[in-house]
Amino acid sequence: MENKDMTIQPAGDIRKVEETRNGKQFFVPPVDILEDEDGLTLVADLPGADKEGISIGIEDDILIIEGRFAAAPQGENIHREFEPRDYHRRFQLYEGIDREKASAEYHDGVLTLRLPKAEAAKPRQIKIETRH
Amino acid sequence: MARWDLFREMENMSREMDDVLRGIESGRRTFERLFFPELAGRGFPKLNVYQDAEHVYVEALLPGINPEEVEMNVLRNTLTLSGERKVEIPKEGKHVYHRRERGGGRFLRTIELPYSIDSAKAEATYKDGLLQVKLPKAEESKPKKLLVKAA
Repeated sequence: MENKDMTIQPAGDIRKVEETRNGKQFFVPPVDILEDEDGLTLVADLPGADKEGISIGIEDDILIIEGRFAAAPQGENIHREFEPRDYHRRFQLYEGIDREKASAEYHDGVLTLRLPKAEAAKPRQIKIETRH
Repeated sequence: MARWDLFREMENMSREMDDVLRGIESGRRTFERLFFPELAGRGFPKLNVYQDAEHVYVEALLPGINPEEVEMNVLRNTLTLSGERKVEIPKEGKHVYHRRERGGGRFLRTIELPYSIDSAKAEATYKDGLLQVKLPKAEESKPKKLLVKAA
């Protein structure tokens, strides 16, 4: 199981969700967003996306997660229940997250994004764990 | 007595229709984007089926599962897939979920394929949450051209 860090642009705190439409059709990936004392964990299902085709970025305080559906169909289609669409989802952010310490991992179609809170945003001093 | 304004009436109706459609649409959209919906009894995982001259291919969207725990059975022309994605339980400590959409749980799906399969040679790979199954057609199932005569 790989555990690779991905470079992402830092994010703010996720409180409000904002989804906007694009011209193209996308899969909107389901997410779990969990907040604990140290930060936020966002987990998204992106089955079929390859790691190289995933991008996580910030534009004007909006976190954008995109994934490229990489699997190519083999042969002639005889039954289809899902389209090979790319993934796209956006979230509204605001301050409170330590941008420098944000990190992400991806395996088996699941993206886990860790957004630690800035020290000032935590209720009290908690020891900082080093991540490898 | 207030005057009945046709245009305002139509505008209200149009706004109500928008609300209803948006409700339906977002409801459907929510349903569509789940890979492990908790309330749906059947129909998951979502499958695509392809074929070429020699094989039938089945793709299933199954993020975050352990491929060794997926059971796959092939009998003649029927494929059965079953397994489970465990619902993650957060570690100790205070926590709150702002969103919880991904779900989890058991899945079981049986699909009848249009061809008999040589089950001894079936192969499956699991990469990036996509399960791809390659099923060689049994000899007698390989295609020959058929002409359909109009009656």
